This record gives sequence, C-alpha cells and structure tokens, in this order.
Amino acid sequence: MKKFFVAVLSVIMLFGMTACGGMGHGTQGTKPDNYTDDGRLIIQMFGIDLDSLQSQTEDTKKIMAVIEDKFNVKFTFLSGTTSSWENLLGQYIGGGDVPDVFFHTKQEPAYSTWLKDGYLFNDSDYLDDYPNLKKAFERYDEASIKLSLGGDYYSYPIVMDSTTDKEVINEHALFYRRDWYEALRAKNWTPSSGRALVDPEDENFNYLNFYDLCEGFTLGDPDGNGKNDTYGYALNKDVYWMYPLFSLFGVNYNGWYKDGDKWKPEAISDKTKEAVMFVADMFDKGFINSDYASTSQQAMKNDFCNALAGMMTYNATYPMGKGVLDLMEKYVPEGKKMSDVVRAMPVVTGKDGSKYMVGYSNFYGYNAINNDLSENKKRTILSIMDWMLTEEGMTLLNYGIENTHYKVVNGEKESLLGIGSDGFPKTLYDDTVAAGIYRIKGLVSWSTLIPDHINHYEEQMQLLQSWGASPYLVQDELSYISVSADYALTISTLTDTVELTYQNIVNKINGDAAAEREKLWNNFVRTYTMKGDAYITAMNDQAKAVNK
Amino acid sequence: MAKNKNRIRLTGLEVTLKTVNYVLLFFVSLSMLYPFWEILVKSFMTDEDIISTIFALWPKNWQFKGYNIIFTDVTYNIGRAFLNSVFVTVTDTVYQLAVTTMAAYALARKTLPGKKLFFFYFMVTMYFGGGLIPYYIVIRSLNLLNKIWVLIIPSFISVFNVLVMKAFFQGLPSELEEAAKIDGAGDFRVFTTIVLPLSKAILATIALFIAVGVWNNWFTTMLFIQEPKIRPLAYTLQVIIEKSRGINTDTGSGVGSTIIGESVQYAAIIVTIVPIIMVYPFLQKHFTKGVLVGSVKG
Amino acid sequence: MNQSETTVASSASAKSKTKKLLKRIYEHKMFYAMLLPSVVLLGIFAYWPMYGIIIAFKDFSYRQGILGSDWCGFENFQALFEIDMFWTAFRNTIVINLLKLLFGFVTPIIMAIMLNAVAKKHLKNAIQTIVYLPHFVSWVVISGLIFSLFDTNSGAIYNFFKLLGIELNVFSNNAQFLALIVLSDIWKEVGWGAIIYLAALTNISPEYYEAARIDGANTVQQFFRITLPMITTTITIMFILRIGGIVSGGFDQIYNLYNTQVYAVADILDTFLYRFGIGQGQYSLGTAVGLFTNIINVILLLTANFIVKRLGGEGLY
Repeated sequence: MKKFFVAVLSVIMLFGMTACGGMGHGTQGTKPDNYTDDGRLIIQMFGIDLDSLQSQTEDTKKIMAVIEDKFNVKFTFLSGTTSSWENLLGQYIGGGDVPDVFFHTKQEPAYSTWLKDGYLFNDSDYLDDYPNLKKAFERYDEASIKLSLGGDYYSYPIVMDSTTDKEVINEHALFYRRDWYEALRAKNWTPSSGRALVDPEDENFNYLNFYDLCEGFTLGDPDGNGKNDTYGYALNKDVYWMYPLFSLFGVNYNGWYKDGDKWKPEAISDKTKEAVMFVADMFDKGFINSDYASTSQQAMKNDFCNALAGMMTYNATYPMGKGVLDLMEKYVPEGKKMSDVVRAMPVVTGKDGSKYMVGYSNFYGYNAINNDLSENKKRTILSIMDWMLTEEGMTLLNYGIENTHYKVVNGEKESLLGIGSDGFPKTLYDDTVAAGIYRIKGLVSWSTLIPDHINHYEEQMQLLQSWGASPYLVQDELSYISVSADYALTISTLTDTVELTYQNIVNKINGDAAAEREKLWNNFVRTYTMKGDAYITAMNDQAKAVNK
Repeated sequence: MAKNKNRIRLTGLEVTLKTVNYVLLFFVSLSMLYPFWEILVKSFMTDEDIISTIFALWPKNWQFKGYNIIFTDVTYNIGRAFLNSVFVTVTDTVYQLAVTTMAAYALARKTLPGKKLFFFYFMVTMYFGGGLIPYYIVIRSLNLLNKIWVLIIPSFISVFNVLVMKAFFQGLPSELEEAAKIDGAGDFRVFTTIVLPLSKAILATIALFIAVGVWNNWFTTMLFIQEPKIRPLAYTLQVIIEKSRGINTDTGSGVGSTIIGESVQYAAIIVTIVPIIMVYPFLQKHFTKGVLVGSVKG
Repeated sequence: MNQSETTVASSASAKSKTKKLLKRIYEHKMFYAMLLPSVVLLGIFAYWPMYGIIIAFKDFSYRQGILGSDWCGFENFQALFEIDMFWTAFRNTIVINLLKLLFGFVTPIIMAIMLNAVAKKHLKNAIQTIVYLPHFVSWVVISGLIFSLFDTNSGAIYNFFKLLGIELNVFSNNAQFLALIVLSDIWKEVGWGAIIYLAALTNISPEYYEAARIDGANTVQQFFRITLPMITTTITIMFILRIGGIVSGGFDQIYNLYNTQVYAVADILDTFLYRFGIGQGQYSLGTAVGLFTNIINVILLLTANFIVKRLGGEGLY
C-alpha cells in the first residue's frame, strides 16, 4: 500500500511539473506599462490599512482626482492589516507580483532576499532630478542609512513628523495625573523614603522622586475615595514600553554602548541590569500592575483612563493623545481645566544626574519602488512623491481643495468641513471626510497635521512636546548599522531571549527573590554572550566600516 | 424476593447516575452559553461600564454605538459584505455539495474498476500540498485573483466530507438499488430517485458543515481579494476586531489614527454569529442521523 | 508446441481479461462521469500546486522561477534543522497535540454517553443544540470570547478565579496558556466530537440491553459489556486519525490567541511556517517545513494503522 501511495504521488508530481510547469518560469526584464481605457498609467500601491483608499469617500475621490489628473495616472491599491501585511507582501513578491510601490520595514532576512534578487529600485542615481525627495533623504545620516539599506538609497524613508527637521524624535508622552499629585501635596503625604515630594515638572525631579511618586499613587489614596484601589505606573505586555523606566538609568536595551574601542550590546550591560532590578522592585511594591505581562496596550490605556493607574506612557500623536484626554473629561471638576488633571511629564533626571530619553529615527518604514518597472513609470512615481513634498502637494494632502474643503481668509486657511459629532470642526482625515488622503500621503509622510480648532488643543500640544521638543532625546548610535541576513535568526532569537528574561525577572518570584533574579540575570548574560558572539563581532566590523 | 430487592437497588443507582448526569449536562450547557451571553451584553454596554463591571450579566447603561459604527462605517460597507457572504455561502454550498455527493456515491460503488486508485488520489490531497506560493501562482494563472469565484471554485478540497458521505452510501441497503435496476432504472435515475431522497439527513449535515466553513472563512479573502466590493462579511469583521484590539505597538508610532471602542469588537462578533445561530437549529436534528458510524472507513 | 500453446492460451485469457475490464469500465461510465468534477478540481487545485514541493530542494527566487531556481539538494533541510525556533515549534506542536489527545480524546466519548442517557427527547435535543454551537463559530470569534472572559477588568473567568484568590495570567504564563489551548479546544469541539459516538450509540439495538437487564446486569455492567464494545471500532478509527494529525493543525486557534511571550510553548509549526516562510520571504525553508511535517504525519498515520491492525482491530486501510 505504501509503495502504491508513493507511486501515485510521484506520478502526479511529475505530471504536474511537466504539464503545468510552464507557470514556474520566473519574470525577467521590464514589466510592461499598463494603461486604463482613457490612457492613464496604472500605478499599484501596497500598504497597511489602505481600505479607505480602496473604497473611497466622495471627498477622497475629489482629492485623488487632483493628483491623478495632474500626472495622468490611476492608482490601484493592495492593502494589508497590521497583522497580515508582511505575509501578504511576501506572497505577492514570492508569487512574482511585486507591487509597483510598496511599504516595507527593514525586517531581515526578507529585506536581504529582495535586495539579492534585485526587486528594489535604487533611487540614488535619480535623486538629482527630484530636489524635494533628495532633501528628505538627506535628513538622515547618509553613510549610515545607505549602509543599512545595502550600500545605496534603495527605499524612501517615510517621514514621521514633518513639522521638525530633526532626525531623532519621540512621539510618546508620560501621561500623569496632576490632580493626584496635587491631592498628595494637599494632605502632606510623605514618601516612606523620607524624601520630600517633588513636583514632577520641577527641573530637579529625579528617578528617586519618580519612585516616591509611584508610591504615593499606590499607597497614598490619591483619588481620596478611602480605598486602596490605585497604583503608580501602568505597563503593558510589550517589553518595548519599559523604555521610559530604562531611560532613568540612561540605557536603551535595544542599543549599543562603547566599551573602550569595542561596541557592546546594552541589553546585557550592568546599567540595564540595574534598570531591570529597579522595575522588578517597583513590581514587588505593587507600583506596577501585577498583570502587566498580559495587559494589551488598549487595556493599559483603560487602566489609566479609569483612574486605576496614575501614570502611563502612550502615543501622544493626534488623535491618539487627544483620544486619551477626551476619555479623561469626566475627571475634570467644575472650574478646572484638563491640564489640571492630566499632563505629560518632562524627561526625568536619571541616576547619573543627567537627563536621557530614548528617541527613534524620524521615519516610519520605507517605500520601495519595484525595480522591474519601466523608466517612465519609475520616473512618474518619483515625480508624484516629489510633488507631494512641495508646499502645493502638502497643502492638498493636509487641507484638501481650496474652496471645497477650506477657504483662505486673510491669508489663513479656514475649514469648510463643518462641525463633527463632538462639537468641534471636522478635519480632513475624519472617516466621514477623506481618511484615504492620510493614507496616500503615506507615500512620503506619516505625520498628522494637528488642526488648531480641536478640543484640548493646548493639552495635546503639551503632550507632544514634553519629550518631542526635549534636547535629551538620544538615538542608539548603531541604529543604522546592520549585519548580513545570515544573522537574522540569531538576532530574533536574542530579542526573544532579552524580552522574556526581563519579564521573568520582573514577574513575581517566590522564595529568595534577590538571589533568583541574580541567577536569572547571570544565566541570561551567559546565554547572550555565547549565542550572540559572532553577531557582536559582525556589528563591530560594520561599525568600523562607517567610522563609528 | 431477592430479585425484587435487586431491582430497587438498580433503580436507586440509576437515579443517582441520572441526577449526576443532568447536573453535569446543565453546567456544560451553561459553560457553552455564558460566553456568548457575556459578549452580547458587552456589545450593548458603554466602554466605561465594560471596564468597570466585574460580571457583565446585564447592561447598566444601554448604548448602540458599537452596532452603529459597524452598520454605518463608510469604509466597510457591511450590507454589501453581508450580501456577498450570502451569495458565496449559498452558491458554494450547492456547488460543493453536488461535487461531494457525486464523488462519494461513485467511490462508494464497490464494483467500480480503479476504485482504489481514485481513493488514494483523494487521500493524498489530505496530506500533501504545494504551499502558498505555488497555489497563489495557480490561482493567478487561472485568472481568479480578485474575483468572487476564488472563494467558490477552488473551495472543493474537503476530502473528509467525501469520506463521510461515502461511508453513508455504503451503509445504504443495496437491495433497494437492485430492485430499482430490475425495474429498468438507469444508474443516474437510481441515484436521483432512490438514493438522494434517502440521504436527506447526511446532505443536510454536510451542507451545514460546508456552509459554516464558507461563512467563517476570512483567510482566502485576505489572500486573494483586494476589491472591497466583493469582500464577504467574515473578512470585514476580522479587520474590525483586529483594529479594535489595539494598534501596532512595535514601532510605537501612531499608525492607527482612529480609536475604536471596546463595544465595537463585541458587536462585530455578535453580527458574525447571529446568522449561524439563526440557521443551524433547523438543521441540527439531522446531525445524529447524518454522521454515521465508521464514517471514515476506506 | 506445448509452450506456444500456453502462450496463446494466456494471451487469450489476458485479452478476455482486458475485454472484461473494459466492459466493466463501460458499465460504470456513469460513475466515472460523477467522479470527473472532483477529480478535475483536485487535479487543478491540489495536485497542480504540488509541483511547488520541489522548492524545498531549491534555492528559490521568483526571478528564476520555480523551475529555473538552482537545485541545492538537502541544504534547506540542513539549514532548517539548525534553527532553534524550528525545533521549538516542532516540539510545541507535538506537546500541544498530545495534550489535546490525552484530555480531548475521551471527553467526546463521555459527552456522547451522557447525552445518550438523557431519556426525554426534547431535553436531549435542546442540550445537543447548545453543545454543538461552539463548533460552528470560528476561532476568530472564540478568541474574542476568550479575551473577553479573561479580561482583567471585566472577564468573568478571571474574576471568578480572583474571588477564589487565584490571580490568572493566562496569556503570559506558559503553563496556563497551554491549559487554555487544550481546554478551549475541548470546549469548542466536545459536542461535535460526540456526534460520531452518539450515532454509534443509537445504533446499538435496544434488544441487547433488554437481554442484559433480564440477565440482571446493572447500568454499570451494561456499560462495560455492551456500550463500550459496540463503539470500539469508532473509537479506534478516530484514534488513528488523531495520531495522523499529531504534527499538524491548530493554526487558527494558535494564530488568534498567541503572543510573543508564550512563543516558547505556543509557536507551532504552522504558525512558524506562516511567519517565517512567507512573511520573511524564506519560501524554500517554508516549503521544507511543510514537506517535513507531511511526511511525518503520513508515517505516523500508517504506523498507527499498522499497529491497530496487528492488535486485531479494524484499521483505516
């Protein structure tokens, strides 16, 4: 029977290979341009959540028509969700349908595979013809970003915050309950450490004062309801979000530090150990939600917005920051302002007496152009992206069409979109207006324009600027340095190990916690050094290549 | 006398067993129903209540925001998606049922030359596949990408259903068919006039099996359909649920520009399962009759 | 002379055999016609893509095409076996399936016996309607239910355990997550799994019980002497099928429930393949994973079948 089974299988496979194998031949050479019936060049764009471009509202259609008419093109869209897009893109590329323009991150080993197979168009030689694009590229450390992309500008880094020219940004904020702090002050609550309670926005507020404030929010009954039902700082299950606490110790666990003339991973440094133990201590004291390891970001936000937690770190961008503020409306007493209740905490003074906050590159992923397109189509796409970055393009993408979506009165733009259900003027990106335009803008920029007529405008700005405008933002020096895709598996295993270990150390430990944690840490450092040895050496070699 | 005593003890044991049985079944049933109830209740609760209520048994403050968002969303035209789902489910069920029944009936014929070969031809597909990329290439070369037919035509892959049905046909008394044949009826007449009427139960079961699978299938849509007008409900709801669960946390950047409340997620779940709950009790009575013993015997 | 006679005779008999076969085939033309649609459909959508299996032995790049890519022998398998995550996934798949088999195989049988013991027809119907329900709901929805039930604010199960003084940590604690995977699978499939046994049970002629009762056998005795033996065949077949699937399956459930924290116990081959093979563009390695699991499953299936047959039971083939 078994033999029969195998025989059938092999016959069928042979049949399949010979009879239908024709499909298995790959693509070589240029992909021919295709046009709509009325002669427009069709451009296919792949990205995340492009649903609003796939089924467009009337306003989206109008604005899209302006772009499409100007360049005589027609856009079609391929959309993936946040969880499916990587696989979908992999499917298209593996199946030979590389989209004309596609969003991607520099996830290895996928990226190196595309580069090796030559799917990515090299923008470098064309940039002189597209000044705005060139300027956008030059925003970043040229040698480094080129090196990380494979020696040249293979993809366009999509700007995250176009209001600043800075390369390093941070669009999160440490939200805290100002009214809780005031309440503690009012009843003269003193921390068990014996230190005085310090104003979080005081220049000298340091990591120990932060610790004290957490204690106050946990044990000091800051909401005055007589019940012990609050805690200090809300975390969620993504270890990534521990970074503000790590920053108190001047470390970025994803980063590298220089020890003599050698770069070493911060993940296993002594400073990081101190930081992890600090978080573990906060956890033991109950300052952190005991179930943080299973708390989604959404649930974490809920804890804060329902007056369970006194602090959290969350996106400060519009409309997410404003979304939190809107939910906090119910805690604003008569005669008080939102800024008396919820505020963003500036960068806290760290253990070594300096201020430090993790920052990241001012771009959100990349847009690549399919290398198999015709010269004409590549140029057309570059022209569209370049034009989008002009004043004219940005105005269209941010405000819509003059006299349809806005009008100019005394040199100021005035919205014609009407009032939304929250009683404030609608903005262009509202779902009911032209949400799709935000997505097409994603070709060059992910930044959101903050309309100045929104509820809590000032508070929203305070949130964004608390860290965003801070001079203490530090980006990992080797963030653009990458090693060959051969290390991709090592890296992902190491990342998993790092995050798992941090959580294991922080989580509840029975028995001699200090000794257990010490053991966990030592084991971790040993494993990391052993498994990551070749990778660390490779990173050092690469860093030397760009004179870091 | 002794026998009589024995009898009383017997019923005593039986009563105890019965009571335990009923109590257990009650709790099992409760455990099956409660989760759906909780979701239903939460779909009508305000976000604040959802967060602060410990046991959601009844909504304190009613709200319909979740349903409102789902039914009025401009990006996800839910009415259209619903119609697509109905179309795909109905067409696909009829189509798959026809193909499955015919294959099963033929395979059930003991005298069929090459029966074993065919049987293995079917079985191999249960265990070997070429993977997604070649499948994608096949779908594309048949020009099925972005067509609603991609959800229907290639869907006949459930050899399992064929096997279940085949076992049923083998269990039918062969005298009936023989009698009909003596009366001069052809194979096809026998099939349509004798066999099919006898197989209503199994047909209903398999039909439901297929229909539910089709109704719940969002994966194929995700892979092959980019045209929003032909996307079925399952996909749309998958997207809504995913969106309402949170945002992309890795990069920490605000990709999701809209915040969807908790109740939307629950409302989406309710909207997906209501059609199933409405249809299936009518077919349920056929189940036990339909899926027969040794259903997968070769 | 003699020899040639035999040759003639055998060729004649071969001829008549062929003729007979052709005649039989002709007689069954209707059945071939009925098979045609499914054979063609499987040919196109199941067999045609199978040529892709060769990717497992190639260094695949779409530019060269499936046929044009370079052969690389077993390199992909070698590379695969060096990946820790692969072995973790392999182990997890087996552990999860074994746990499901251990706890989930008997429950439908018990369920069927319990249902069968309900005498009132309407009540039985009502209970059946309820316990089959979860089977008809997709894992996307079930995962929604689970996230709701274990929510630390308003989840009923979470709060129930909290009242008992137990703080659940289902989505980050390895052991608890495994328990969740196994229990939710049982919860979803117990009713439906019971159907097959229920059918077997209702097929047992009441006369057997009647006879047993007259012989003075009590309920428990009746169960072990009649009920169990009568459904052994069904149980065996279901068991073989489960063994044949021990290195696969469960994608929907895991995909909708897991998170990075429980990868150590929850990442199974299917999820690994999906994330790594397609998402990371490692098509060759992905196909190698697929082929590897398929072969192991077939071997297991055939072995289980062989053992059952050896033990005197009725096998699948």
